[in-house]
Amino acid sequence: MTVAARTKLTQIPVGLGEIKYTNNAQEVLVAYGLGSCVGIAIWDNSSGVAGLAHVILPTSVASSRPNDNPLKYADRAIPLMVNELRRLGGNPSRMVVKIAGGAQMLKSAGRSEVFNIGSRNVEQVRREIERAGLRISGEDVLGHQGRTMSLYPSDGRVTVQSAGNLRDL
Amino acid sequence: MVQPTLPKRIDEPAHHVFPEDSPVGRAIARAADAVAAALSELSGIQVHASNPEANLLPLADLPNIGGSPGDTVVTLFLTYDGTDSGQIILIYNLDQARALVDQMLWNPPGTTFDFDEMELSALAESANILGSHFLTAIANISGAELDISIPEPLVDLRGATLSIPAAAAASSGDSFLSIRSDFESDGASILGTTLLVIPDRGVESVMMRSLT
Repeated sequence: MTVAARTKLTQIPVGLGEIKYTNNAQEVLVAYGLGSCVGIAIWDNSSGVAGLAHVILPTSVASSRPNDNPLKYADRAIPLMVNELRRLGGNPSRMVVKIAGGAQMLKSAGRSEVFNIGSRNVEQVRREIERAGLRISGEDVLGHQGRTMSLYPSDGRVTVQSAGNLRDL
Repeated sequence: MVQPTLPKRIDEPAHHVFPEDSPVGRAIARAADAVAAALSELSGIQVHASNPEANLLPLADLPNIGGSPGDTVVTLFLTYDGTDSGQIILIYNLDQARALVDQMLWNPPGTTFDFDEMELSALAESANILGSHFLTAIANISGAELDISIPEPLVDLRGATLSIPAAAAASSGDSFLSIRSDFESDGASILGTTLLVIPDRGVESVMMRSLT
């Protein structure tokens, strides 16, 4: 697909603690401004069904709130996402997984422990993907810069834009 | 887009607005005016506060504060503690940040383009001044004793920088208390500056309880 053709696609933003799904080749799922959050893109290469999750925290273990949004946690969002993709016609054996994000945005030592949730998010996402029987085939994680992640259901391509650079994952 | 069968969230937080004429609304407006006066002095142009407000917002709204999450902005992070604690986040759009640096460093307008150590230091100083003015105004009204940290600058995507308070807010719920003001010049041009204060304990914070 050419860049020109892509500009005509409808962008579907995937916000904090959300998962969006599509099998429409005229749409693109976009997680804008991933910092410490992690974007998880899963695409089924046979049915063309695609999902993009935007998780904020690694686990729900510390939460005692029964009505918490489960999709903000990696340990709850990923199993839900894989099940939903399966329901939509996806087959785990054909699912392609790519992840981006998990940056440590602030570098100061005093705040890193409090705010550096990024690396723990990445670790948990890797663990949950493995637990779901899937394999990560591309990633752009950690570091100190924000990223915007896009998933094109037409061909499963995932792009990451960071510091003005756009690249395929 | 495919609609998932996942259950809808049942704890969708309502927007809880503190009216302008409430004690909280008046206190926020006075603090925002103090910041506007300080920003006027720094920038050399008359600035006024625009829509100062305190709202309980859904967490999903946080990356959109002041504009698109995909925009590159200059963000200054401060924390405060004492009888209360929280975060102060000052967001400049790139042009406003450049203009402010030129003014603060006595450069001819249009000199600053990149943000290196000196430029970020100047912007950190602006955050120190503006954040202090805000907290001092609030402390004068509420009686809270608050200390402010050294500002930490960041030039990156708005959504990425705001993931820092988002992660903290997400660990305690699906909403956050936003005390916010934008700032505009007297003309039509909007300076693109947003001050966001997020008390750690939201509406239960000492600051908010002493104002209500």
